[in-house]
Amino acid sequence: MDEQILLKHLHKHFSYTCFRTGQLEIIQSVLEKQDTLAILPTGTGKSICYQLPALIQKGTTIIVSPLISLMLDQVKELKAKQIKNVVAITSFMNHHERKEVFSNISSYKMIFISPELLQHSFVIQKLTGLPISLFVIDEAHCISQWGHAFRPDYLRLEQVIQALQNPPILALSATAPPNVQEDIESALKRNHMKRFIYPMDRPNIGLFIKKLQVESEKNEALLQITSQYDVPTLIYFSSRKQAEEIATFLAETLTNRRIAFYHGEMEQSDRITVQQQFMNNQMDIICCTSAFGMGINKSNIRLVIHYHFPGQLESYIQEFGRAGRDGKQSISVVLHMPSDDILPRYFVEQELPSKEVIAEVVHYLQTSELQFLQKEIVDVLRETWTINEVQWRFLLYQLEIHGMIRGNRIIQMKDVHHVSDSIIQFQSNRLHEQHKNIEMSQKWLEEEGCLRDKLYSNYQDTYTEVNNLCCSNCHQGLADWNLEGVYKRNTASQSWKKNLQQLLKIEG
Amino acid sequence: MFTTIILTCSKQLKDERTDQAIYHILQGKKSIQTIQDIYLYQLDHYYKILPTLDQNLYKRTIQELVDHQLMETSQSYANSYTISHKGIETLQNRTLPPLLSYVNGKKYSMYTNTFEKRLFLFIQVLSNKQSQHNSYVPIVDQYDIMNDIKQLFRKFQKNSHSLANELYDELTTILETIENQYADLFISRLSGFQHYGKSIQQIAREIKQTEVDTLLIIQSITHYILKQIEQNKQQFPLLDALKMQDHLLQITVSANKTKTLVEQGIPLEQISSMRNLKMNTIYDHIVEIALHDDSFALHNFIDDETMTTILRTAHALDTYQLKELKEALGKDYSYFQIRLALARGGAVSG
Ligand SMILES: [Zn+2]
Repeated sequence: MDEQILLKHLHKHFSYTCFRTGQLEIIQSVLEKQDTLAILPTGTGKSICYQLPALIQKGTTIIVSPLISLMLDQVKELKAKQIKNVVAITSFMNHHERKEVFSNISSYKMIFISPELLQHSFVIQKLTGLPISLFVIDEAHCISQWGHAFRPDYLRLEQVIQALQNPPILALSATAPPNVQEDIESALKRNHMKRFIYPMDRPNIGLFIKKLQVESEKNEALLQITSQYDVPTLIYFSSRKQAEEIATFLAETLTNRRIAFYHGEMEQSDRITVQQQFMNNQMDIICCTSAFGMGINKSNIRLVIHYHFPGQLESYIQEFGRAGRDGKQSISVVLHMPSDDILPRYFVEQELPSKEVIAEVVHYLQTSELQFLQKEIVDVLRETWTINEVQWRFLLYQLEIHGMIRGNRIIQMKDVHHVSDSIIQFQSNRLHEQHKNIEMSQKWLEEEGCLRDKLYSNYQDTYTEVNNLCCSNCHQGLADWNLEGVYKRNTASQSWKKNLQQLLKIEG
Repeated sequence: MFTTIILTCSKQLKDERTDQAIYHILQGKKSIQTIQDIYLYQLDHYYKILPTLDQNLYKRTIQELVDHQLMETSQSYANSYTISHKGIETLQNRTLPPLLSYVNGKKYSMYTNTFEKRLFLFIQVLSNKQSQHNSYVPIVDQYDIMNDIKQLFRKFQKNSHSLANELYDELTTILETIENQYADLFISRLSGFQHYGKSIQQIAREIKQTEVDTLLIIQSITHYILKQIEQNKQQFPLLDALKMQDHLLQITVSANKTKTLVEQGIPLEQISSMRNLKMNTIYDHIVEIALHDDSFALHNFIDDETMTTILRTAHALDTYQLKELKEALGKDYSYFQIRLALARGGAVSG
């Protein structure tokens, strides 16, 4: 479709007057019904790449997304833009709501759905009747076993797509190095996807590592940086508890600053409150876990601090990339101490069942007289071997691809040892890979050369060179950081009547 | 505040109920036992004032009170605690903020949540309309609430400017009659054009109170507002329109069916066989209806004299335990009659 016409559509639906990098090419590819793989850095407007085609084309667009909160946010944002015929189908809907949605299923232009729900034949059956114009896989790197956020359910999407009579695919990701791109294509059994890969380096963000010895030094450094730079700030933690504790600590010390915490365990309404307050400059500092940020559209974040470094460089790139969306100079600061690899190593171990558990569960299922794997049985299994949710999804998927579970039927196998050996092999490969990722992160944190150079050379051939505030190995400190353009904060307290007048826009 | 309320409840319950009964009252369990308890022990003001109360937090708080010797092991129940002598003495020296005296759970808890949501959404919509802005994330995403607000705008048929002025007048008229700090707190929760109100946690941190105490303050403010609206509907037409009853019915669906049949004059035995329910279930329904609906006539089930005798006995023995009362009253009085008498008698005094 012609650029001018597309621009008209863009303006009509989203009131933007121009496309951002990559959007036009990707949208054109999608409208030509090509299977498309697009790697766009965070914050460059990935969602427009399917939202605009969804509104232009006849039929329904299905969007698979890994996080329910992310889907709900997207639907809310679209509705706020007066695009109402969109829905997120989640496992949190009650029976009544779901029934209502499914009885009007053909009225929606966009259906957001989690990969888990797409495993239900009932759901597939409801979707097969629809004319599907596009099947979108958001955060497509989740499909790769080597990606930093592997989701077994994503691997089954290929079957789903087949069941839906192979609509055109758009796979989107912000971070997918070449090996992950290969994985995405092969898992989807699409060999000739049209690829659009855009460089992910962010020249306006300086990369600074602060090396410390013990945790108390981290708190001091954190306090020093945040009190010196009064700018919209995100602080990332791996632990929910610490995010809360440090938020309290900072709030007690920096009394003139508005500070909140944010993590996935909070109630949805509280999460929205904090998010929206941050967006509207009513909050200055958010102490958060990786749950924060996806789908956040705040352009003036100036400082992203990593109190804990994530287990992979890809996550780090995605997280600090939330700074400086407006192109203004911003800074990433990593607080690093030698023992920092303990947390990510622990989380990696938590993600997979141990070899012993795998062997024992396989053995148990084969020797017990059980024929069906009902929910109650699963609960007992999980209790007996203390298998958490993520571990169980891994195990179940492995048992299925090895033919030991079909539907919820337990199939007796001839060679049980082969099954458990093969799963254990897979588990140890994956564990190995994850630990390698952690080692890579640790190695980068200890680099002595240019951090920018070392970071991006893993993913792309070139990057934009930066003269000012490149990284902590090229430059000493943050003295050159120009804080121009930082928002003006209005914290003057006024009477409740004045506040109410302001809210209702009336003269007192 | 929270601990004072727990101690007050425990004192009123006189160790005739387990400490779990207090949890059920505060959290607002919809069971006949709990509803009866609040009237019998004059705790109806505290019914459902903390609908989101966490069981673990409650247990922890009880344990703290035990650690401070304000509560002690119950004489009547295993694994339960009741107020100690020291607790009763302490309670005499404790006072709740005057605002808390406006809390009236039995009366207002069915409106509170929905009223707040409607009011907050109404203000957010109004504020954005006033700024000619229609792209924002609504603070409430429940379909029924959004629908209520849509209909209200239709009903009033006024431009947003005059609605905003009227709402301002109504709200300030009420808020001017409470302490400044509470008016401040209430207004800080509101959202509008490019502005999002504070969450409970944020307010708690600001006023240096626990979350549960903050919730109690917030409930009291809202109950106060609801009371003012109720006393002077003509003066607060907008707020009154926002205060419709909760969509959730108070009486269970099943009890409601029984009620309809009873009101058509069908005898209980026949209802029991018609609906294929045990007689005891039908009795439960009648007691449930009696508790919720003061206008529901009981004379077909219990005469005035029987009622008076039962209530007098309960008073004389200073107990509301069914088993004790039944033993005292003898075989001429059924459990059903005793429960009915207590339900209505409690409701009258409470
Ligand atoms: Zn450098």
